[in-house]
Amino acid sequence: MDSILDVRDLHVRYHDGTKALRGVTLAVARGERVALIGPNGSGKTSLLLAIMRAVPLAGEITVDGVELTRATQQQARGRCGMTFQSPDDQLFMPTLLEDVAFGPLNQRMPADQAAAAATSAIVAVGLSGLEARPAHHLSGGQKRQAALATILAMNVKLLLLDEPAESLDFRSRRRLMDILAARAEAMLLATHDMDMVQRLCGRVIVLDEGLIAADGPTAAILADKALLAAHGLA
Amino acid sequence: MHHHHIDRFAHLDSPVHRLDARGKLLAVVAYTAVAVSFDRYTVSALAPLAVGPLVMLWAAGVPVWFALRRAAVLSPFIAMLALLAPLYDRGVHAAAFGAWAFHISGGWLTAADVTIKFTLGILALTALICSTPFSLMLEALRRLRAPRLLVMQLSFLYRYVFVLMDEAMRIRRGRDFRGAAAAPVSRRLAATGGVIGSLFLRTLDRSERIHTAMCARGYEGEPHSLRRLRFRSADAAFLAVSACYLAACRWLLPALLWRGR
Amino acid sequence: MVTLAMHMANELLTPAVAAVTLVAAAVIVAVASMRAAKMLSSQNAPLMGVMGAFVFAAQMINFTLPGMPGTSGHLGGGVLLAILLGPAAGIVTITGILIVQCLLFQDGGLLALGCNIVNMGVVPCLLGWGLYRLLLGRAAAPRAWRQYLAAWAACTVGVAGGAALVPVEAGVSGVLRVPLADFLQVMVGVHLLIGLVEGAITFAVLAYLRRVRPNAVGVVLPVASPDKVGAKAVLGSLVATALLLSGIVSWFASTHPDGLEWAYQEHLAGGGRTVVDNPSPAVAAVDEWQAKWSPMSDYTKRSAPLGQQPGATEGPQPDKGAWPNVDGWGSLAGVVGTLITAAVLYIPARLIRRRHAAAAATTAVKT
Repeated sequence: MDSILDVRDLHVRYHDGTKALRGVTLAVARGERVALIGPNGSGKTSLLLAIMRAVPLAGEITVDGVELTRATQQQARGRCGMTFQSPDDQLFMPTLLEDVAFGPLNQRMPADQAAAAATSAIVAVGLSGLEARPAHHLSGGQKRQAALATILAMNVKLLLLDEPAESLDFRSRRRLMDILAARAEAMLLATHDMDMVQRLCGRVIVLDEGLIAADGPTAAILADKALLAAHGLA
Repeated sequence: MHHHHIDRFAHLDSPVHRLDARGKLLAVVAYTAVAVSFDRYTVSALAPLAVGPLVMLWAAGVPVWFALRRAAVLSPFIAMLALLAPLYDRGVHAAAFGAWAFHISGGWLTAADVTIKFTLGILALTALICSTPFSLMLEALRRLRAPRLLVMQLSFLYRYVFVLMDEAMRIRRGRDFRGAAAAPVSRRLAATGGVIGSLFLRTLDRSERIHTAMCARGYEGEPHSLRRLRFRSADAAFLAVSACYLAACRWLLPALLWRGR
Repeated sequence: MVTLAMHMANELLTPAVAAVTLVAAAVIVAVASMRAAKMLSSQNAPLMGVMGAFVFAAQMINFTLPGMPGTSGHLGGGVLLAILLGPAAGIVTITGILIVQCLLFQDGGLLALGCNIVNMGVVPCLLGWGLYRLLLGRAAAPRAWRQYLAAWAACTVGVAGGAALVPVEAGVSGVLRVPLADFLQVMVGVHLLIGLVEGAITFAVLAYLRRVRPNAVGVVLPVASPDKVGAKAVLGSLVATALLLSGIVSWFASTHPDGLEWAYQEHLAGGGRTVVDNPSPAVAAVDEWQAKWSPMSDYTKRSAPLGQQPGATEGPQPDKGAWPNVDGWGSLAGVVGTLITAAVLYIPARLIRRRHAAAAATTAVKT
């Protein structure tokens, strides 16, 4: 079995009673890129957060062969990297270099090594030269690239990306897509951007009201207009 | 927004920029202490003290007009001391400026003294800030053993102050554009309370999300940091020169040049 | 463009006093950090830093004062933070803010940091929070207007209390050329008013939070009764506190003219020209408007009814006693005045609490 992620019967219920996921089962193979689409409120973000064990959940999640429990959550988090909808919430250090080095340092890398890993991640996303810049000096597109760098520096095996190109102009979106296309990691990509889905992902999962409505190859799903319409996507 | 002027010169490169932030911080603190330690009637002895910050600013590539504009700060306390001293302190002192000897009331001396010291302090701080990125300042504090919680807090404060000020500006505009100025007191007060209250709640939520992002990147409660400050011989030299300069200003030059003042 | 630096500057202190206050502040902040880290669960490492940014942002939200066009008040933040997050977190947050304001915004001197932390962080947070809890009593779900009144009193006393320390610190340094009593009186008087405005904004914030997220203000609301504060209750407490405070301020204001006024009189008596010669008609118009409408000019009864220009005899009163009034009675009066203010607010609160307890007891008996 060569899956990087294995989710079985996942339920997510928040403290105020909302049921975000009502029994989700899926698997992602190593190096596979899967798009997660669905209307607002369908549970996409909750699914990604659950894999990071950041929300109250019930069910089985296995990351890179390690079953996700309270004891193993740090280990599992070291295998996945998540970017959030708002880059301002995840770029919280005074300079870009420190932000990108934050993850490696927490993985107990010595300072010099962490700095090196951060620098190469910054180069990989095309922001070299901006290491000393504080985040509030970066443009919207640059912040998205920076957020990606923060997890690439951690040598993760699975990228969990929550609306990575939201509110970006065409050029910035293309740039981000090119960066992602060049990566070898497995990817679970929550997005509204059908163009990005087609370019990057070989498989699509449709989520609606906390349940998986469809799971199949990109071409087939995106061609099925009736399915998309039924779930508010077309 | 307009806040980038605060960091404007901090990211340049110059010999002053390359000095270790710890040395610069200690030098500025010592400088301020020396300036304040002069009694309130010494004015001319303060002149050599102006040289230090001005040289630093010049070497750091900061234009004079920028430094002076930042130094144009009005403190009500200083203004009060400066304005009232001539009225309360009528004792007459003999003063000399070069070969020109004259008599002046103690109050005027105090007024000049207080204003000059204040401006010098601001200039020194400006020299520090314009030649040191805030992130390095934070590391200096950390390496100088400031409490970790405090340094972490300053880091987040600096990072998010612009974000939140922008948010507050937008909300305030929304309030003003909807005719808040014309509303009766109770509604205006309620609107103000609502704006601030909602900003508070959004800040609480944001802080939770930041914490989630931190944990997602492996944070377990122990902050780790890069070590980017390196104390080199240039820094030792800077500290030595500063110490000699301050000692000269405080004791040597006054004894030599302003005997008896 | 000249910017305003409202915090204490280095020159009000001697290096010795600065060093002592810096050490004292450092100790207090260290203790507060430990307590804050314990009280807020470890899951909020960014909280106090981001809250500091919140205070900066909140200070930009101004509130135009009623009846005084062109003036607006805004939040200092210390007491609000103490009410919402506890005094320890309040102290740590304000300390961070003061450091950033000193370094980045040239507001407050490096050496005066210790004093500024004590005056604007420690005193408002501890004193303000203490008074707030005292007036609130032990109820798990305090009545809304009681909470607002407590917050208002807490702000007023906290802000004024901190401000009262500025003359003391400067006086101990021996830097003052102005008599301590007068400086104290001016600082406390002005900051009582500032505290009043801040208190109004604070209770408006609490009102909003009570409706939207009650557990943020430590209130457990019973499901059945949504607690709505009528405008009348708010207005009533507004008027009552304002009357009380202005009455008390007038009792304790010195009959001597304050420093600036004295200086002006002396200058004129000595045959000097007016110190400030402002030909602007706008300023003259404002002066006239103020003379007509200020209900208690110079903290004394008006000689002419509201709306009319007072006669030529109105103006700074000649001093009625020995001057300068260097003895300690002036400062004592300032402190006693503040304490009496607090007591005056406390007594009715106690009475109300007793009546509430009685009412609650009878309700409990009935059900």
